Amino acid sequence: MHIFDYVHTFILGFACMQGGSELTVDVHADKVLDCTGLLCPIPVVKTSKAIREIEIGQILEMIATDPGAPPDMEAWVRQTGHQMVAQTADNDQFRFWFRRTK
Amino acid sequence: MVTTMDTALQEVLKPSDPTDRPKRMALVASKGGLDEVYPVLILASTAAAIGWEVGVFCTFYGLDIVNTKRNKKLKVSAVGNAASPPPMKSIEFRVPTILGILPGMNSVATWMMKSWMKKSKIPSFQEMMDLCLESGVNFYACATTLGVMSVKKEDVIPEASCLGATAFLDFAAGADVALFI
Repeated sequence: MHIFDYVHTFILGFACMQGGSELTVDVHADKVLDCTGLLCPIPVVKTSKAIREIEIGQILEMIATDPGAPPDMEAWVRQTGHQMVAQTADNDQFRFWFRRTK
Repeated sequence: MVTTMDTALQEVLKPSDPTDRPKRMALVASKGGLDEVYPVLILASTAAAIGWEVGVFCTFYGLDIVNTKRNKKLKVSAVGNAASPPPMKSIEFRVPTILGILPGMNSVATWMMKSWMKKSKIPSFQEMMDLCLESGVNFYACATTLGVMSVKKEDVIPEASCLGATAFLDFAAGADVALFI
């Protein structure tokens, strides 16, 4: 399960570097949170709230345009222990898929 | 048999694993300008969102954050800030510092800051404050400041408790992150 996720993330990350904007991610999201146009700390605060509204094991998709979002969300994953299944960067739009782990 | 008892005893006496508890952040908020309280509220709300325990010690002008008589009217200072912004972003023109002493310049600076914040969808001071309180940030009103600034205890938001430096240091001693803002 976990190894698959890491491989998945790696492949997606690699695909992002190669393909960039053409990439489509095929992850089923149980909930979508749109943080377009919002700046720090609101995306992180909203993501923390939203992850508690899905069941453990479910996926939350988050969309952000804050240029600080990629490092912030990676840190959020490290601090909260939830899992980032995938992320994409399309010009100024970032999309993240998180799995609730606890 | 003895060994078993010792092991059981050791298990009980074992200090709790410090990695079990949530991380803790201790902030000292010492300034009361609108632009100066935002870093406090942003860090506090973010840390609380990722599950940290947060304590904000509001001291001297930082007490304005929890002072209901003053926290609705926080201002940006027009003087004493060499980085004061140009009136229009498109024009490279800095307001001469001396103009900052004109009556009403603080209000102008405050209005400008608020309009930029609104444009970039940053929550207002009160919204940030509510966000912090909802997510469990602890605000501490510095007891000395209450005395020095003649602030009545009933003017401090009910969520804030009144502490001295010793009690705050006791809290901060167990903090993973401690910042003075």
